[in-house]
Amino acid sequence: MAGLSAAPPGSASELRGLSNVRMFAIIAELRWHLLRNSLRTIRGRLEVISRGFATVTMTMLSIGGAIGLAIASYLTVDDRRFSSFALIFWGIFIFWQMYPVLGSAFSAPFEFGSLLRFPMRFSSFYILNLAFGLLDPVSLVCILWLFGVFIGVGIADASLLPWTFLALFVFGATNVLLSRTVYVWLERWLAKRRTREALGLLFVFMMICFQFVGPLASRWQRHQAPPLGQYAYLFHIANFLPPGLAEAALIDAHRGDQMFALFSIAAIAAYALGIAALLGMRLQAQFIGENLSEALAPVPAGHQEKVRAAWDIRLLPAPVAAIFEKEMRYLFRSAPIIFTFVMPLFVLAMFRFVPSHGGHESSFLVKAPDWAFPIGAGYALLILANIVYNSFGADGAGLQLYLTAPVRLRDVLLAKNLAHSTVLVLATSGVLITTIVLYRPPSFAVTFGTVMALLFALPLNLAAGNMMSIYSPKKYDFGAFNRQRSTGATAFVSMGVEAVVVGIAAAVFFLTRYLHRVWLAGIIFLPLAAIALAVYWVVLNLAARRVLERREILIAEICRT
Amino acid sequence: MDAPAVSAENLTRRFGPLTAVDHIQMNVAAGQFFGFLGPNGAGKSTTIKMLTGLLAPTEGRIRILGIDLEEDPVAVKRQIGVVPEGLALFGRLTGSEYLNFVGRMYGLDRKTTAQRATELLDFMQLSDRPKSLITDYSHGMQKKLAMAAAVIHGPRVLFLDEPFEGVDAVASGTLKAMLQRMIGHGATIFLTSHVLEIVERLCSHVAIIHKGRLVAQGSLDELRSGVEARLSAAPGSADSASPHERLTLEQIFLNIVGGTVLRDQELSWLG
Repeated sequence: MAGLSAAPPGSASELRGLSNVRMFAIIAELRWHLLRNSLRTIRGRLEVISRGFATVTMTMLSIGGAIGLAIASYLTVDDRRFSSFALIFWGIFIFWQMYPVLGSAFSAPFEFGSLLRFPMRFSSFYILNLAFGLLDPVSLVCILWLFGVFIGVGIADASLLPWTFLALFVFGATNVLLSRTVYVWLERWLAKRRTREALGLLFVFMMICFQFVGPLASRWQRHQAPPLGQYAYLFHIANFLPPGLAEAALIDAHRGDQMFALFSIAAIAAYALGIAALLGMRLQAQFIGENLSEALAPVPAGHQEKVRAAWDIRLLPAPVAAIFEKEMRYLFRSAPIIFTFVMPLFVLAMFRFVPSHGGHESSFLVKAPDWAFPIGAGYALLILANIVYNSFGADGAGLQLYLTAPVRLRDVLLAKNLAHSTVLVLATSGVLITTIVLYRPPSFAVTFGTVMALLFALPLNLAAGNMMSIYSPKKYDFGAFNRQRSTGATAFVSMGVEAVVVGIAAAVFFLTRYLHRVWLAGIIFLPLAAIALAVYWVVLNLAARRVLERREILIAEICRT
Repeated sequence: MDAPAVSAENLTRRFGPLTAVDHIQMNVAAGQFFGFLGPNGAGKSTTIKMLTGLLAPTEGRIRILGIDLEEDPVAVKRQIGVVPEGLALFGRLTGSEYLNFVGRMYGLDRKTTAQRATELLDFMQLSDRPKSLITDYSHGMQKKLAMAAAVIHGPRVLFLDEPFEGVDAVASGTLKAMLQRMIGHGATIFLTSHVLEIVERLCSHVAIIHKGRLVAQGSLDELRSGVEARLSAAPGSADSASPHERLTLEQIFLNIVGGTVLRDQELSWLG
């Protein structure tokens, strides 16, 4: 305590404002401490090592990209094909703007607004925000790429260097401003759970849709030319956007039309100013404080409804029915889970439309449509492993209720397994309908064989999943799309079980098909399913005892905030 | 004589070399409003976790209403309600769905559960946001919901870990009224709290844990007499209460566990 009195006397009125550089240094120091402290745990060390590898890889790719762009720019100028700059600038522009957006959808945002509790001027807040944007890895990579373009142009034609420098500088500044503007708006949306989940789902579906671009383009190519003519005006619009203007500046400078070159650069600068103003508006809202409450508007007094009774599932004991209902509500309120639910359908659709071998042949499933149902159902089972092998992961602090309520832990596991099985039944039904619509109805023998194979594979997965949920739990947020990997042990065990189960199922199907006795598959799986069910039952009782023994570890991992 | 509502014999919990709870002997009679106090890190939450089955003791025995927790945990859990540290909520359910879930877990039928859930949500002033997920509730609303869930089955013993932390005055008044009603009906409440004024107002009996050991236990008057006797036996003892004033629980607590006194030169720069 004595040491505290040695602090220099001062008061709030005596505090001087910090310079922006000093403020930035303090934040850098804070992040350094956070990184250093994260090394105290094995998980933290592994994370730093994996980030180190990612950084080295990204650096190599960035340098390679810069060299490639330097060569491309040199050839573009040397061959007088200046229109190729449009491709280069649009590529950089899209990467610069889209990559952080995609990254934000999958990870928790850095809460820049948390700095506002400190005595900071708005100008400092704005400048620090830009500085963060400038030092963002994606920005650094793109600046390196622009530098590559600058070097390539300079080697090809040194007289273009001043104009290239000016155009690229303004283009780069516009990109930094735009990426920050997009980011702060995203931050605004991501601060709310609902918009965060909706945005995550949107991006995932966009990524799925990208998978269809190739096949559709290929089909167009085979059947008729795409009707691009009616969309030609889009290319004209693109000429008036920053990448098109940067390209125009270089073309005009090369032609000696310095006024036009200057005009193009001024137009990019005007974009930069407009974007800067937008960024200022958003940051101003953050600076003065804003309410991002997610609470829904209250129902007017007198309109309050009575609580509706729980689901009426008479076949199950009350606690099992209650947990089953809770699990189903959880699963179907989770965008990532819905995504895993529909993914097999997308895969079947893709195999239906994707031509193989350079677009000249139909896919394997189109040639052998009988396999669509077993493959789709198998894929649904594989995806289900995400939740089966970490069944307490999404419970959060609610896990404690299972331990304080008068319910047998065996019933808790059983209810969770029933819910997961129901999801598989629904997903498999979806696969069956998709197969019938896109391919053809599978034969009775294949359908019977597939159902029996699932009855063999599912109990084994549930049994292994229950044990791994207890021995290697990991907190999981059903609402987030960020990288929520299972533990290494869980990944290893689940892969092992899937390899064995899917291997056996595939072997049985291939063998019976080879022998032209596919109907035999269902009969072979029947005793295997009975054995799997017996194994499941034994493991269920064992797992229930283990939950109690390992409750502290479960609570420490799952209930942590 | 009735069995104590809560009984702990030699209750001990070690985490590696650290003994968080050290051979506690404690009896809480049925119908008592019992405050379990202690400074940060004293072992309060560890004790309450052991008493409610969330943590296994390293040594010792726990009986709730005469039933051994280790021998028949399900029977014990039927009799108790718990608001644990960090609350035991499922964030992606609505308030009514959660109460329906909890009621069914305690074996209530669907109709009774829905009826009680309606009453509780109304009483706790949580019924005006029927479609909001719990994760979108404010901290105070979550606390009230956790409390509603803990009492939906009408427990005979209620364990509350910091129930008033982060709760506003209005909600706090609502919770206190409900707890008093339960005491009036013969329930036993075992509560930990750092808000000593509330404990003093609500609790008839108190135990104080310090560095894992139970350092005081009894009715408020018994604790007060003990401290006053100690103070009078030590003349010159610096205590702010005059001999004619009753010691507050805060003064009793500080006297037992000790506290930091700010000397003249310390933190002088604070102005």
